[in-house]
Amino acid sequence: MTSRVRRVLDRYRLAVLLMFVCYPLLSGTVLAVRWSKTANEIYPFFSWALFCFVPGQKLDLGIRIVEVDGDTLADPTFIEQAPDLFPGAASSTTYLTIQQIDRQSARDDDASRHLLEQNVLLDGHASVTYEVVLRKYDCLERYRTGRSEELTRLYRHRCTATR
Amino acid sequence: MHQFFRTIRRSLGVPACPADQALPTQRRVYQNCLRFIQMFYAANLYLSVERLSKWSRWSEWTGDQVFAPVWPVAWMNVVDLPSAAISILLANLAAALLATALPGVRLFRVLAAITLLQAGALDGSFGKISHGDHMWLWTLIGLIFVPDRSPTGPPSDRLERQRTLEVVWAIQFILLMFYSMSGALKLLPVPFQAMAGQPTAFSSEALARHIADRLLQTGSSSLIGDFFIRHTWLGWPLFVGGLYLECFSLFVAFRPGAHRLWGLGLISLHIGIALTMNIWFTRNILLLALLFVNSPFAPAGIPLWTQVAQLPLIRLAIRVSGRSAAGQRRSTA
Repeated sequence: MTSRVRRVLDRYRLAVLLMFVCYPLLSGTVLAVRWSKTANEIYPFFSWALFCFVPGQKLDLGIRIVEVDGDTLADPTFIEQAPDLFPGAASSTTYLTIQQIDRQSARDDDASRHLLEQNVLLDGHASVTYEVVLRKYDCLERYRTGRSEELTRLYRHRCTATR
Repeated sequence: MHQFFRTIRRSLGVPACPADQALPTQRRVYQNCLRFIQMFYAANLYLSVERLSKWSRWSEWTGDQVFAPVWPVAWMNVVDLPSAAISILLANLAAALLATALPGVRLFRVLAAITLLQAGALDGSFGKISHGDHMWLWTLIGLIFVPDRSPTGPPSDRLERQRTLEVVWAIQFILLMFYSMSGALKLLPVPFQAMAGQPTAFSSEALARHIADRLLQTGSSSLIGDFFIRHTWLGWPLFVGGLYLECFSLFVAFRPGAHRLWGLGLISLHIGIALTMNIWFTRNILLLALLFVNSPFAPAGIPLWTQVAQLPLIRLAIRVSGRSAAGQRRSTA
């Protein structure tokens, strides 16, 4: 192999090597800095942190639907259990959005709550009343029995379609 | 520098090619790489058409949904969203068509990558970035670096062939690195979870817990997820097997003899995830089939046992047992 060919190939290899070092460094840094955020990535860089933690005792937020278009539900139900009412509810996107909602109150500047209401709750409905609930459960137990260990209602909110 | 890269390759298990076989091997692998590139862009065209088939989502857009643009489509904030979205999908199709017709022209490959970057960003601008297109996109980005080649140009020289080979290999490497990153990040929390008395990735019910959590989050059911939740211990070998495949993927880049088996293993992993958790990485399966099961670098006609012997840990076990047997023979003599 001539020295010119070697030089060109070495440049190629060096560029590839740099990319291999930079990619995990960049996506890992973003992951570390924005660990608690839903968007812990800069598209198209992603750390591939998928299913890192085995879920044990979980503490998460749930949206319990109380009233839809003025009709009070006989049995208030969590949004993911009502795909007939809310077609966009049965998705991990909705779940991640719910986890980012403010736990104290329905603030006007809460982008996640706004996203949930516009993209899921008010999709085909004029008004929806819901409760933000803190759930404590073991996922295997809840899957088998349908019950959570503790349910704490944080606050109730009513949203209405603007158009 | 050249010696440095050679040392790395040898220490990671890349087999040395006899000097008289180097050129014929390079020509054979180069032809395989060209075939892979053609097949990849044909598949990319199919996916672009499929993406465009959902155009009605945009034509019926009422503006009720919140649009939170990812950076490549930030410009869409100031234009009419439905028209811009359909334009992106049409541009993606046009670029895919051109790249399929003339994959040697770098400009078309650049356009194919940019338009998929836009289409993927558009898809991820509604609250969550989907990762189904990431590997496909990185492959498109990688293929930009294949040397520009006119269809009427002179036959490829040795340097052009080698650069093509190295780009395709680099794409294999980066895809396998994604799997290894995912595997490593599953192992990282193990000591912390164990110290906190929580279940870890090595617990017998780890897979069942992941399945239950996912199905509860999405309020959905899967084909065989319920079975593994009821028989938690059956999931243990599958989960550990998945960890093995993910963690050791990086090593396989240096072992062409193991590409086919590893590709099949990773495809099985994706199918298992789909059947238990309803997460469908269909494009990744197609890519693995094109780039690993039909790997341009995999030697032709090698027996199954030789392929198995190339797998990480198994190769190590064979080496260790071979050394200890040789040591015993020496001590007996």
